[in-house]
Amino acid sequence: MTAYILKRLLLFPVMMLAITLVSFTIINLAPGVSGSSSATGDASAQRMTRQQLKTLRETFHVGKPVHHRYLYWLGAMQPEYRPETLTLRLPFSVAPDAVPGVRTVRVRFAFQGAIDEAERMERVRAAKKAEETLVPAWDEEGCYPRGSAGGELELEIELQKKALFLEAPPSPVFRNPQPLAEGSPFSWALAWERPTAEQGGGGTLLLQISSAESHYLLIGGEAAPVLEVTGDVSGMSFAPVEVPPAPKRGVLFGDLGKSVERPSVTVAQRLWDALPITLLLNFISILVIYLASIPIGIYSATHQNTMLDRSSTVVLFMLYSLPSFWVAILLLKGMVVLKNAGLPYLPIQGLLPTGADDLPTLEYLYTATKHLILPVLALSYGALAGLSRFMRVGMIDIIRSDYIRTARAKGCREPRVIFKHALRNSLIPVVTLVAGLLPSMIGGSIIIEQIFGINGMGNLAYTAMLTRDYTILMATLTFGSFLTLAGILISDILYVIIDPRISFESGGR
Amino acid sequence: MSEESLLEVRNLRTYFHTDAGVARAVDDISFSIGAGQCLALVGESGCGKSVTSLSIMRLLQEPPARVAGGEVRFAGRDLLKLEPDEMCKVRGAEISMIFQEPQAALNPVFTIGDQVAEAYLVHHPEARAKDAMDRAVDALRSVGIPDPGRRALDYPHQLSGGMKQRVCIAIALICEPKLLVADEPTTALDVTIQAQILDLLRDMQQKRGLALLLITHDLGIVAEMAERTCVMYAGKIVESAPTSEIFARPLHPYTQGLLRARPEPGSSLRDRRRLAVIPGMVPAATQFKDDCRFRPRCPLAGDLCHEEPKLEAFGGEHRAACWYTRREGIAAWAEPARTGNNQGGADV
Amino acid sequence: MADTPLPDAPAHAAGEGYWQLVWRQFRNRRLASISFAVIVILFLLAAWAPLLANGKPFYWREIPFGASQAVTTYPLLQYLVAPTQEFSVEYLFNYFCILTLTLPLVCLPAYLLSRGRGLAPKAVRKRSTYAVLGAFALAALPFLAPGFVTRAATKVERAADPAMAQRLKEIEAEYAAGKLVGEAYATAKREAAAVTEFRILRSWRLDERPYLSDFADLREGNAEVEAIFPPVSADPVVNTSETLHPPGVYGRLGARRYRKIDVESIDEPLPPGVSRICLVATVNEISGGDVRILERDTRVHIEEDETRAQLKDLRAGDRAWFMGRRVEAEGGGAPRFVAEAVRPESRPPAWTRHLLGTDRDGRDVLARMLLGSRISLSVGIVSVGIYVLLGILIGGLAGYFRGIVDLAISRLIELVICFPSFFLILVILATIEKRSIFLVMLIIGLTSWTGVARLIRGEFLKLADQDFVHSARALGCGSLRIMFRHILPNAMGPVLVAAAFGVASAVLTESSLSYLGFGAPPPTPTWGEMIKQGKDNIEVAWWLLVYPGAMIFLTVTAYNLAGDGLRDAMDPRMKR
Repeated sequence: MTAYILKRLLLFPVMMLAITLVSFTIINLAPGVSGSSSATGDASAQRMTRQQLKTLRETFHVGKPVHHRYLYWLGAMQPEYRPETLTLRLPFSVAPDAVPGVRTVRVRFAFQGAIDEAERMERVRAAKKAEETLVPAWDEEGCYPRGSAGGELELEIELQKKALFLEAPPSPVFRNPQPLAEGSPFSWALAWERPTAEQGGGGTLLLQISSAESHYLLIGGEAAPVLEVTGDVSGMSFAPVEVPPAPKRGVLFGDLGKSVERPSVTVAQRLWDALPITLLLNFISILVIYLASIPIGIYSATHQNTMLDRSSTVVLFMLYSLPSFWVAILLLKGMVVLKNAGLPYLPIQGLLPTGADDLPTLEYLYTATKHLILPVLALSYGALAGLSRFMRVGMIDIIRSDYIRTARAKGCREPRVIFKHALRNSLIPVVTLVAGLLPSMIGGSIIIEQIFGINGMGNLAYTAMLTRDYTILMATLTFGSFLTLAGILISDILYVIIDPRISFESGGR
Repeated sequence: MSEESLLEVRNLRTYFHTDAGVARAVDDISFSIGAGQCLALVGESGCGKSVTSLSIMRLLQEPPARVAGGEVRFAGRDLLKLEPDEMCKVRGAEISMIFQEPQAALNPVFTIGDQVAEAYLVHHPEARAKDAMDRAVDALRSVGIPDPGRRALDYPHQLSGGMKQRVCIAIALICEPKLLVADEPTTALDVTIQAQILDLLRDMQQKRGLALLLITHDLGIVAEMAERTCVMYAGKIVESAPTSEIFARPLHPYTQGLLRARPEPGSSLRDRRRLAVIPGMVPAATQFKDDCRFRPRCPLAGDLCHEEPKLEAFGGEHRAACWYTRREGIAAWAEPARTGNNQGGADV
Repeated sequence: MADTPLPDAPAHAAGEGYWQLVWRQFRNRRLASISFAVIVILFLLAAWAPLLANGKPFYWREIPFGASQAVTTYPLLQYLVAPTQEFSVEYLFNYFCILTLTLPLVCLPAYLLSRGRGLAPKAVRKRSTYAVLGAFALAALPFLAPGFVTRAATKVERAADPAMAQRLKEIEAEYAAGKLVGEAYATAKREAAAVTEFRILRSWRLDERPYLSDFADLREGNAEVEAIFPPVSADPVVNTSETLHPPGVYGRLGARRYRKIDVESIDEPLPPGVSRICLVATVNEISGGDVRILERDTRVHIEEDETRAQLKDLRAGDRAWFMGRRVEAEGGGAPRFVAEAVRPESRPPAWTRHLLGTDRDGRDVLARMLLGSRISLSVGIVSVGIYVLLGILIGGLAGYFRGIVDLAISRLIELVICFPSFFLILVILATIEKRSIFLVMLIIGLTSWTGVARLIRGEFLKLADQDFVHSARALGCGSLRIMFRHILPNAMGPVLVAAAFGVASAVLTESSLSYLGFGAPPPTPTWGEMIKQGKDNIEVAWWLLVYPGAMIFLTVTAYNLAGDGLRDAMDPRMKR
């Protein structure tokens, strides 16, 4: 058994990888993600703002060769680090025997910048359209000449006995970035960090280079920034400049991109906010389904063809055929009618009313439960009906089997026969149904959450579909599939544990 | 019928109510078994012998089936009139049953030790689990399962058919019942295992004074095991006698036909006879009328046969239900024909 | 089981095959037969929908502008043979509609002719096959030459009525002079030209505007009427698209542009450049030239007489579009509203006008439901067909060839199962911008094949070991032949049951997709889209919610019952 479980657990990450591959392929059908490297090439992509296109291109690495894009997105390959803002740290320390006084220090820095490809082509096209000749400051790949972003700083550092500060000390925060040159897209700002007492004399100079929109700084290889300190540096020693390392990008490192609609929020953040709500809703629904349908199935099987059994079969069958969104809206309408008539009604919006955090625990739980009743009902009634029928049929089959007859022949009374012998056997296939339940719950929760105004993953996905927020869509699809995969895995393992008939040497099914 | 018989079935009727009509599966049969005796109930498939055993144990599903009349007296009580709870106390403790298909007779999700011990615990609820398990292991040992301590932890699917049947016997006998009903216990097993199981049953019978109601269609088993035999056909007992008498002097045409139909090894080669058969098929249980049920297939069928013959005694314990042969002991069937084939080999 | 020792009554009648047995057992179950009847009725309703929900009248007799002879056309017939420009679901169902007429037409005489002859069964079968094929071919004929049908169906009356022509000229002159406007013009013309038409249910689609008689014609002065919609093509056969009217859309009435606003925002500042608004509100009370609307207790004043004439169509509780301008109240009270044109919107059910009410744009609900059944049924059947075929293919390959093929396909199936199917369908539809009903069918088909594949794989694995396969192979049958001719017919049982349940589930999926807005493109009537309108108007229009939902429920229940019945009919233990 352990071998089987280990095998399945090992297969889990492989399947997750396959899921991400399929999701990536699907999202690539979208306009703006597929298509040429130019941002405005695709006609329907023109409906998106430039900012949205930029977010898409960043997240899905549009423009790179197609076989690399998936790896970049996944995080298996890291793209070139192209920051728009860079903060360099220049630590320096003062020797204990340094002579106090004012020093004039010159700091010369040089960078290389580049213009965003989309912007570059836009300018070229615009110039062509206006029939002007464009004299670009950048080369064919959009790179500014080496050292094009650079400048010189002159600082006066006053060394004193105890402490040390820079003349006209720069602020501890960056203020007023100054353009490096007239019309340059790059600007710089200075700050410094005072040392803590233990470090003795010294400090860190912080130099921030920022670039205008559609420009960025090149960091790697030959384009590495250069910082030179000249001047009177007696008594001071400057350590080599610290270039911040490139942040790891990609799904494997938790980077899911930014929301296309609202780039200030990362997708991971929105997913993190929405996921627990959906999980709660689905978990409670599954619990309700199992707790309700197992007794119903047992009762139906043991009291076959009684009035209650027949009528419940009819009712359950009808429930099974009702569209879930219709039921949800009818419940909504019912509550509206009750409200208009002044009768008590259940809340229909959201999971918690505003200001719920202030309530004491018991009231909090009470109002949370009230809010949950309708969505859980709408989400679970279909599966409840199906599972009850399934339980009933299974139980009837099992009750007819030979080992139940043996149990009766032993002298077991009827309750023992049903609840010990029959139930155990009939629960086995029911457990495996969890695997099929979870995906339909996740799909159904899209509609239910939208109708009841619950901000879970389903609602997130739906609004993403309406607003064409492909990054969020991608993340929800992938995570929904992960959840389903987890459900399948759990039910397979449970099945193997519960049913002693499975022989693992032969590989099971 | 002697008064000290352990089980006495009188005029038992069991009917099934189906959409096609009422099937009179068991129609007015009576027999008795004494303590420590073995009675065989013989007949072909569908004659109602299994239904008889299930009726005695009251294991039939009540909605389609219904015990429509008669008495089943066991140790002075009529089992058919007991409350369900009372009957549960009887089952397994005083009368036990083993079934035809050992493959399906054990619950696949419990260990066999668990299932054997349960048979004890149900009737001795005050017993401790460990005691019950010890007794279960003893029971398994007594039915000849090797290494019973370890086997008790196995699941049914890990056992062979013969072992499973032994386990069923262990379950049936752990509470030391007085009567064991065995419904075709060896039909689904290999011949060699068959012999072992039959030996085991005979052993139990002798050691514990167990009465045995053996239901089978195999006349060889009947000859080996049973002291008395009842032959059933179409829901009725057509002949009832001590086994030796049945084989020596069968009175009813059906019994004669059954005995005649056994292939004897070598005989057809020597004499080149066709295998004898009883022509025709058992009629459907919904279509019985008031005449003799064997009439369509009987070579002796005549004017008297429009009325159903009653079981009448003929010399001591031997009873038969036929208008013609029971008085004179006529041989109902002719010799099987010779074939004209001069070459060797079996005829078909 | 030893419990029921009855010798099994022979279930097969003499000469009956397996499927005849299954059919007989299916018929014997009452619920299953009822469900089958319902399915057939639904299918017939879908095929006959245009005959019942007439966008166009059966016949239309009028004197066209400038002519002096009456012309009778049969617009419905024209629609039947050429419903849309490109191939669509309409073509298929119209074909079935005509087929239901030609089948009895051809087969009945054939049956009567061959009845007395006492022919051998084989000859009877051959003749009936020919008759059926003939009916199919006959039904296809009109579609091949729609223009011919149109021309043949137009009838120009020979005699011209000079008095009528004179009267018409007078009316046109008055109209050109601006003396006769609005409803009066339409009525006068209709009376003079003795226009007659016949239809059963009015569904009010855009291309029916020339045929509408109770449509409140909105005219202003001499300008040509355009109402809120873009102009239609003059050719009534061509189907043009309608537009949805969300708030904010600009509509035109003559030369003026109206911006549609909700009544809740009546006193919000108007966007720059907008002076005229189109207010959607519920009528509370009509007195004279004033309409009190339910929401916000605002008064709508109608100034012009002919606009007041449009009020006769309104009742309390109706929703209507009032097009005009807002008048700020003196002294800071609630703003009034002066309407220059009025149009009724969603109407509740009423026996006289609309049996199940109208929707937000005034279209009859019953008519749209009938037309919507075409979409639902076609999506249900086509997508199930696609995924059954796909599942049979893939599952068959896996189950028959086993080994590495089975391994690879099983992993593929596991991968596809990981994606929640409804979610996946939505995402794919959301990323592909194009909206079309065929795309929906295809996507549903491509995502739901795993269940059937697993079923078929299991059956093939079980059956490929049986002796009949070995003997077929020993005879030299190739793999493909063995798979599809020997094994597959034995495995079809559970697949048919799965297909029946699959159609039910596909109908539910399609309606959910339409509800969310990802189903068939806007002007197509679908049940899900009507429920969406019902939800948006939940306080007011309960009929938009209840009836389409009940229709979905009925259809799904029928298919579920049929699947259940089929499964029980094939269960060897349940003999009847």
